[in-house]
Amino acid sequence: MPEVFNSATYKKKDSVKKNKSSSATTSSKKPHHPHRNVDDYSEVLAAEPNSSRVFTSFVPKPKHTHFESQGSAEHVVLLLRQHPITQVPWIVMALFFALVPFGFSFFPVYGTLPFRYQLGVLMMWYLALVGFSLQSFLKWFYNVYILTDERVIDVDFISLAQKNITSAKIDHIEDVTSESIGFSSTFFDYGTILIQTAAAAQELTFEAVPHPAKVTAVINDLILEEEREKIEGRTH
Amino acid sequence: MLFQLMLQPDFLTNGTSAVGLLLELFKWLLVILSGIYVLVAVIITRQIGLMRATVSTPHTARIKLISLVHLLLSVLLLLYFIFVL
Repeated sequence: MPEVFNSATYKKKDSVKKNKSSSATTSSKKPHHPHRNVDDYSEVLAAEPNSSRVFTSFVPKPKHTHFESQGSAEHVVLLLRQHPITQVPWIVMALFFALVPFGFSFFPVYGTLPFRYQLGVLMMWYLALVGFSLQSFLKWFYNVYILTDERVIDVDFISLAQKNITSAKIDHIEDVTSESIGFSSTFFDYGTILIQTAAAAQELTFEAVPHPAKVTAVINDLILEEEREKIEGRTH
Repeated sequence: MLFQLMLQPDFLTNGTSAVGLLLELFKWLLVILSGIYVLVAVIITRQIGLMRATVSTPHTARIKLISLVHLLLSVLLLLYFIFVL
């Protein structure tokens, strides 16, 4: 029997074809994710909530944190600074210098100065103190150690004019050592982590970072995940 | 001041004038110090810009604001030393 043309069936077939082709294009457009989420392979970080706190020294999975030379598919998994207890010396010094002007009256020369001069000296003193505190704070705040799912990075601002950034790929890490020496580091749970890489004469040092055991565990998790990616062909 | 000293040789032996001279010298010492400090404040502000470019975290804008306030205060102090003292 000759096939009778049915417009309804034709439209149906056409729409199915269109759906198939559209789903094919969407699947081809779907971005390929070679990386798993860090929570999937790191127990330490899975137990830590995403942190949006800024003025802390242990920031797991920090939100809205980026750095120079960060790759588009690279995610910051841990941001570290020196433990706050290591900043106590300059804070105590600043507090001491804040109290010094109360002793100015014991200097006979200061007492003979007119009031506007005394006020000027006081303002100069406290402004210099603010400058010193600001600079010390900045040095702590911006000297960071960053762990991403690809690299470890050590950002050092040695002085106002000197910047030093060292990074090493996770798969180049050969050895990770953590050491906590002294009563203070044991009591406040901070220590130094030495990361030995395959590159000649390159060693990254994370100085006085909090929770060294956790940090070491995270680095080991990242190394294992990197190896897993290589085996499963998820590297890019 | 130097001109006054040339015109009046007894300028330094006169007690009131000597104190005035010392205060004037002290004032310009403070002006020089606060001028240098303004430069330091400018460097700190510039450095924060570079630090922000290197590592960007939330609230870095606040730190920039603090550094700008610090710079403004140092300029105000310089003006105080020049015009009020």
